[in-house]
Amino acid sequence: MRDPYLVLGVADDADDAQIERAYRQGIKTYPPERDPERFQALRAAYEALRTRRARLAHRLFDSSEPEPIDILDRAAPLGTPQRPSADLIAALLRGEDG
Amino acid sequence: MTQKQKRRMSRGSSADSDALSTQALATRAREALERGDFRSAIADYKRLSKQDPSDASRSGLATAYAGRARELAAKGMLKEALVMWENRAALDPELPMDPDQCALLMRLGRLDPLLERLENPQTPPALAERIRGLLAARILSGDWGLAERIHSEDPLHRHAQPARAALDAYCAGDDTGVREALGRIPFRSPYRDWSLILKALLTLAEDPSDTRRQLDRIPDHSAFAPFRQAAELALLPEPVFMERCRSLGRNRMRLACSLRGWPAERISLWEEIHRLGETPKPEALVRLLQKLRKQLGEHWARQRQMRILAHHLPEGERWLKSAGASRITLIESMLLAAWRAELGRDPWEIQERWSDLAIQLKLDLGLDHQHPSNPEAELILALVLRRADQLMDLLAIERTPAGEMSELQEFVCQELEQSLKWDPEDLGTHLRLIRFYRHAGLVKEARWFLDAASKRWPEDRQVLMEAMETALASNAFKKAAGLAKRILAVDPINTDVRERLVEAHLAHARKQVMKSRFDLADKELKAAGEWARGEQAREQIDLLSGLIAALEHPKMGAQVLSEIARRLGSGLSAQISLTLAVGMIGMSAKQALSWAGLERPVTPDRADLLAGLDRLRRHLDAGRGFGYGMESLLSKLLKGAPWKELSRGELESVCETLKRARFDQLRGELARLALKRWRKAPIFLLHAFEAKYPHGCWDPMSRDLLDLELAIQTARDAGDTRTSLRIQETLERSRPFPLGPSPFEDPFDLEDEGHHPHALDLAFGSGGSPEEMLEALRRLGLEKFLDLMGFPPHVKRDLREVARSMGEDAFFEGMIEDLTQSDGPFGLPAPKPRRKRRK
Repeated sequence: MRDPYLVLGVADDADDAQIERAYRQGIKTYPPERDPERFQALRAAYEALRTRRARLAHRLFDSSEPEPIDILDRAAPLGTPQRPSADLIAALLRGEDG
Repeated sequence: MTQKQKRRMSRGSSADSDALSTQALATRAREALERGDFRSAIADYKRLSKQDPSDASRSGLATAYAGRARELAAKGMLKEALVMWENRAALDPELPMDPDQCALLMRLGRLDPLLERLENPQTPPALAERIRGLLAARILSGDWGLAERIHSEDPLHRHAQPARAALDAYCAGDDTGVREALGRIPFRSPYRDWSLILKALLTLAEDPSDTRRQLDRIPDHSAFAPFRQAAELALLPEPVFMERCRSLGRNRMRLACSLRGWPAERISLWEEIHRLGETPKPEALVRLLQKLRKQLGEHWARQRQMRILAHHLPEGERWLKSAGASRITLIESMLLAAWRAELGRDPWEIQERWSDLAIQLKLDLGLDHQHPSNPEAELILALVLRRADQLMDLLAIERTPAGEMSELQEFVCQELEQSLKWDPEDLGTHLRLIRFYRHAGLVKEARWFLDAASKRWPEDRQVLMEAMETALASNAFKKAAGLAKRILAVDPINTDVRERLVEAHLAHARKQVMKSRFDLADKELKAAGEWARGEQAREQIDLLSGLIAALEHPKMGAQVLSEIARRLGSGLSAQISLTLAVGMIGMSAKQALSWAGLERPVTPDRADLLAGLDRLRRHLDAGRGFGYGMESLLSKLLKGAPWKELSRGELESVCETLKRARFDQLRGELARLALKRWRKAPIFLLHAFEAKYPHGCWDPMSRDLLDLELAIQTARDAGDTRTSLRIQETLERSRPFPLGPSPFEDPFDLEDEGHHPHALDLAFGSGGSPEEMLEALRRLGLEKFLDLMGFPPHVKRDLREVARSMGEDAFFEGMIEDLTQSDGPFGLPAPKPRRKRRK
């Protein structure tokens, strides 16, 4: 199972309100028709963190091995999408993709 | 000779080719072409062209050259690929240039042949179009001088400027500039695909589905396809993208990463993870987590390391050490043990490991529920105490015979009760205990928790439901009806409560019948009739009305009962219905059957038998009791039933129903009957045993006991874990040696479990000194000692707590003192069967 905090994009000490807000924002951005897997992951993450009790239970009882994507998301989170450089586009158009 | 040379030899100039006829050679060459073995095809077609030059062999050779050229280009052997294309062109100067050859020339920067083709009016329009696209891509890739070499009226030249302006604006984030520049590129332009991609990318953030639609319009052979493919990667879900990244070229990946918002450090970390392989080894992840612990957060990284270790002990401990991480603490090791127990799915083990952790947490944190000081730690403790039941549903009433409670369930109840001291606000645990205790027949315990819940949540519907059920279980029917009405006032379509209310009125009516207060019974039946909706409830009301009528006016009542019996089919099912109804008002079944005209024994068919048994099951489901002698009455009715026509599953279900009804004689007979058909079937052995020994078998040499022990393995082999666990529990209850191993096991045959074979013997059996005994117990360790002693789990748990609080050595010393001073086997009293009673 993916780290629900990372799926929702909330801090480790997020409270009920912050978690609900992140969940609502997430499902608005990724409704099931747009990204069903992401939607499901958001639902599962919200269920795992919805209440203080659930968050403690997750901390205590989740023994699933971490996924590399969790390590990646945690250590080097996604930033704002950027426009690629003209050089990069030029290289691709020249067929250079080494 | 190298392998490659050998292959060439075998393909090109082998003697067998010489020996082949022209036709056979042509067939072989065609087959090689069809299976994509272009090198062999080239060799065979060359030979064929020499033997019998023809258009077909030339055409075949050209196709083989083209195939090989594409193969080489895909491998990045561009110059070698070009040689193949040139070989192909040499076969026939009139052969049109292949678009892939054009693309290759472009990649190699050999533009002159392309420009020549473009200017040549003989060039097919489709090819010219492709060449224009390739040149357009080349111009936008930075070769701005190329546009100058093209005629100024050519769209390649004319549209180059706006296409370039759009690129600059896009890279600068100027969306308006992009739209304005693209507006100057007409639909029919060599830059059309470029324009489509940029338009698609402008909608990426707001409407990715539109982006996808627009990108889909660009064909795979487009000169801009690599750019389109990179853009498409920006639309993938993150995990899919990460997976795809593994097979992507560097530039395509970097472009997609930019569009997705991957900063440079994320890309480099991804590359580091990528180097760990498709499924990184757990050891490597432990190392990576240790290395990145500052970025990840110390606590997060450590927690993930523990989660890895939970699946990879004991070797994982070594990984932790070699990664430079600190050693596993006591609490961590206990948490790991609990997680590992969960992987094993043994309910006892799971409960014990979490209970151990709870004890340790309580000690470490110095918690005292009478002086709460650390709400989070207290809640953690409560959750830990509830975990085993939450995970394994150990108090599931559906799987527990009414009125029974296994030792494990008793243990679980204790832990749940304790959890409420730390977290009294948990309604779910209150409800769980109320339901379970009521089901186990411990109404006093159920009521204690019900009172606590009613104080905290007086208007909660679930609490009211439980209050109603508990009232029913205590025969407080009036109270139950009042509670049901309160629930229905706020939830009028609650069918469960409606049914329970009808049942409460019916039960109250029966009570009045038994007091000969027929008028009051009628009143209750009327009230039940007002709420009754289902056929079954109506049937119960009719039967009781009929019986009251017969008691008051036998002649008239007999008519009513006959009519009801007719409606019920006048068979076994009707007999059972009436017998059960009669049993609940303490009346003679013989008389009632006679009134209803059902006194004669019937030979039921399969359907009637199943319907009758279903009535019995529903009777139990409704929580109704049985009158005295009901088993013998039903046994008579069921005599001659076609049991052999029932399937194994149906017979299993009947045995379960009879177990719930506590009709052990009938259940035993049926189980033995089933064992004749399914020899040594564990489930029927269990039913036969339990029916024969309802209070346990105390004969250690009993053959039945041995058969049941052997059935555990049979059930396990068949993958029937549930039956094997049930047998184990039954054996636990029946074992004549509560403090020792079974007489059928060698008590010192412990090597399989890694025990010291004679450790207990060394400690207690050889008359050694207390020091020698202590040394032997130290070697054995606390857990193995407790296992070998065969203590029941609750004793083990208490002893563990004692050992923890006083230290293992002191504990062992105390044990030795106690054990050596006693007369009996280890001098310990046998644990008494415990039945909870709240004071």
